[in-house]
Amino acid sequence: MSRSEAAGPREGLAAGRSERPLVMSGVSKSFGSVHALTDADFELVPGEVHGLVGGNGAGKTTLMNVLYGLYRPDAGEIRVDGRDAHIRSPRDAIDLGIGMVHQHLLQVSSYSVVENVVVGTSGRSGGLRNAARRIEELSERFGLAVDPRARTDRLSVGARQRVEILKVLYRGARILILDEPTTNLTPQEVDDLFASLRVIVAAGTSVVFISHKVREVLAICDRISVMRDGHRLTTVQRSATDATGLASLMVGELAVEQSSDVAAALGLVAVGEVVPEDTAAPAAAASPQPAGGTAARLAVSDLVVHNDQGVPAVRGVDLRVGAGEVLGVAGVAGNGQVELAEALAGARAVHAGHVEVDGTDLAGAQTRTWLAAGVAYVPEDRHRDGILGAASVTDNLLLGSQRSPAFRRAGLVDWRRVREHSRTTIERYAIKTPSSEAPAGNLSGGNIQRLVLARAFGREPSVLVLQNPTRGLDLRSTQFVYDRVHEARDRGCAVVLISEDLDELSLLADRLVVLYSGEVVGESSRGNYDAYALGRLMAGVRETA
Amino acid sequence: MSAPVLIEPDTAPAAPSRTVRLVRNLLPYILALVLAFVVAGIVIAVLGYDPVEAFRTIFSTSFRTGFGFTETLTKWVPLTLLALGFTIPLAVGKFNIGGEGQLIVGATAAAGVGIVYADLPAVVLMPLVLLAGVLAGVVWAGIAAFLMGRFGVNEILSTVLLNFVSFQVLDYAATELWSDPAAGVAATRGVGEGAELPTLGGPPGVHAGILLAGVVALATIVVTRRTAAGFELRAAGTNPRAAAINGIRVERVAVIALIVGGALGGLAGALEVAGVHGRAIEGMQSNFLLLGIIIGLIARGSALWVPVVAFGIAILEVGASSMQRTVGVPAEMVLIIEALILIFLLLSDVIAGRLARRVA
Ligand SMILES: Nc1ncnc2c1ncn2[C@@H]1O[C@H](COP(=O)(O)OP(=O)(O)OP(=O)(O)O)[C@@H](O)[C@H]1O
Ligand SMILES: [Mg+2]
Repeated sequence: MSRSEAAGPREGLAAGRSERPLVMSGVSKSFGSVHALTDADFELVPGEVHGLVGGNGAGKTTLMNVLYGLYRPDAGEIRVDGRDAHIRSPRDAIDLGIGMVHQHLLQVSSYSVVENVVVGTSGRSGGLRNAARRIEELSERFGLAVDPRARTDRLSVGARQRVEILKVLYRGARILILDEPTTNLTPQEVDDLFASLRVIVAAGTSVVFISHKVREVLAICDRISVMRDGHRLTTVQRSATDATGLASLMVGELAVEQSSDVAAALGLVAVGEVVPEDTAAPAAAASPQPAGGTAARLAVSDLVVHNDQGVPAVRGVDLRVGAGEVLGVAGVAGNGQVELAEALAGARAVHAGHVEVDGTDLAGAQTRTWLAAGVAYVPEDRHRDGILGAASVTDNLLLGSQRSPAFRRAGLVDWRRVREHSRTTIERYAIKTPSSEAPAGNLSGGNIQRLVLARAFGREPSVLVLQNPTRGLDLRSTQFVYDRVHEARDRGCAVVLISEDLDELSLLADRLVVLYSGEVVGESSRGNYDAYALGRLMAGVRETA
Repeated sequence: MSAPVLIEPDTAPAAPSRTVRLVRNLLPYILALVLAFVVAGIVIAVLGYDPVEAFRTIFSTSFRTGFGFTETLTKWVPLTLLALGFTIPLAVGKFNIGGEGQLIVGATAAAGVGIVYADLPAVVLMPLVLLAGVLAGVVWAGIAAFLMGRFGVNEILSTVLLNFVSFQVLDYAATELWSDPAAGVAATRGVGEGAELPTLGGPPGVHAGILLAGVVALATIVVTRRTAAGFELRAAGTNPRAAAINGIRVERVAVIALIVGGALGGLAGALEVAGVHGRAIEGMQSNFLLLGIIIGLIARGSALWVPVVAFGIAILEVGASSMQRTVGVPAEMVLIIEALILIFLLLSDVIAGRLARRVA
């Protein structure tokens, strides 16, 4: 790092100060038969936030991984500050002033923040104390609040992300790549991140901001590049586009008008303005109104669930969901959502209380019994909880049904039938994979989610528990999830949708409850959603309804 | 349901052909083998022996003489069983380092039954002897599995410690309970005639236990690849969290896998008694545990490859002693070769991983 800085002035003089910090051109990269990048180009100007958008599997992450030295491209060249750059490893990238914060934060360790930031930097000048001071300086300057002495495994996701950004800044990066940085953040944290980014770019650093959320991209980016099928489709100035314009670039012209839900998914319509629109209305009329006394498919009473530390995280929750009803559970992350979702899916022990599905109390039963009773679960962390990363797509689609008579012949797994099922499922759910035998862990985020959804819906569930089901999904995939949820609802499934996305909740849920600190603190029904009231409830401000 | 096809199906070129894939998969093995022998050859030459002659002896012993081949097949039996006893729990991420303990208690129990009920006819006694061995292995691994499932005791620790306990068990049986003072070594008396396995082919011939071991190896392949239980074993090993969420009782799978591993160790012990020694002898576990682990790792845990690799290792082991006799190279050299194969194989994994990341 210091070497490149030392060489800086002379080279800078020769190349001219206005030199683009980054120009990538003709970049191609294939994984076996998958062409992740074909002749992709990309460039940055100094001090901009550059949005990088596009569908799942468009190649955004791969392009940035190439830049960061994680993948060697099959073809193409990279120029940094006007000079040819040969980036063979992240080490080279860091030396060139390029830093990346990944989609899934890598470091979770018992190291302190300082140790984490310093690890891997070459110069040992001054030791940890100096480093801590530097970090404090940086965090002050850029508004990235973290305690340098805290242990990283005790930090919230948002704080861990700030540590990662500090790490990049500490190494003097002039190009900061953020791959879907807002997926795990609360709205407040997103605002803070954006404020920090503005300060960072003001100092001349360029930021690449990958996201699927139109609203966020429009809020923070100066220019936006759209990727499709492994190359850059176009780049637009922020000032020259609006939400609909950008959305149609991202999904293709027809999709926006075609699907009414996408508008809401985009966050184009704020909470409260969403009127129950045509797709939902007839369905709601057709399905029996749960309030009208029909027996609840899912009845939860006095539910208490502990978190991993043995502390109650869900404290006395009552819920009733009827057939064909979608119950939304709103709340800021960390208020017991994960524990509630896992308990409702039979994947976490019920400490006290009852969970009845179609009249049968399942509390205390094996997970297998819950599955057999028709409970399906789409977990929030799909890499960790959703798939067998090293196993094939076929294996992953079989998971959970391996003892089902449908896939059995003479006591053995009937692999022919399983593979057939896998092929049709891949087609039906449009899972983009090189083959049904490819490892599921290599699929792009959106396609992994399709896989998990395909498995859940394939069980024809009577109770469906979804947690943040569209996180990290592109607009098409989001619409796809919504369509499947509507379908399940129309079939008489009781759906519990746990989400931090109020837009999504107001769109899908027939009824909303707010979870705060493990308790249900408020309830409202469709048409009466008030974003401000919900926001207050989510923040823990109690009021008399 | 009319799922809209949102993304056009990928019309990508076909995956690399079968032969290309096969070569690519076999390459690290061939390289590791060649490198291991080159390095070992250099060491042998430095020690002042003739490496070519040494290797020729190693490989020819098993195939030139009937005795050599018989001995190779005989060794193949416990090696395969112990390797499978290692790889089955390994599939769920559990390390069974207790193979020799399970073999020893299996052998002791088998010998005990064979001695106490020496007069029973073979049709009755033989199944009893084998069953006793298997059960003893089950109990032995079961202790470790119970401690692991109930109290979270690390299975590496408990299985290793149980090895030491097993030495005491055999010592008690061989020197007190059923001791045979005339044997010259610490050993039990011989088992009854009905507890001795018939010999196939020959002379010299291989004991019929090899058929049983073959059946067990085949069954393991079928179970791991074709049954729901095998699928659950793999799933639980690949991602325990996702497996549990999808209804697999991961801890129970791990406990069962460990116990099955113990059963195979116990069976190996029983077959050594009934097929080879006719009694339980101190030291009969030889270095089977170590070799079993090496075999399991070289086979990368694949039930299909374990019997093949075990055969290769058996050839090396049998060749080792005649190499020492005729060329003078210490027999331990073979262990070095085996370790080198494993090391080079692991090394090639690391390199292949790097290559795949960059080039793939
Ligand atoms: N290591 C890998 N091995 C095989 N295929 C890969 C690998 N990494 C990416 N791919 C494939 O390359 C394509 C592009 O993936 P990439 O992760 O860049 O998409 P993305 O635009 O970041 O999508 P998302 O929005 O879902 O994160 C996908 O089809 C993916 O399956
Ligand atoms: Mg990505």
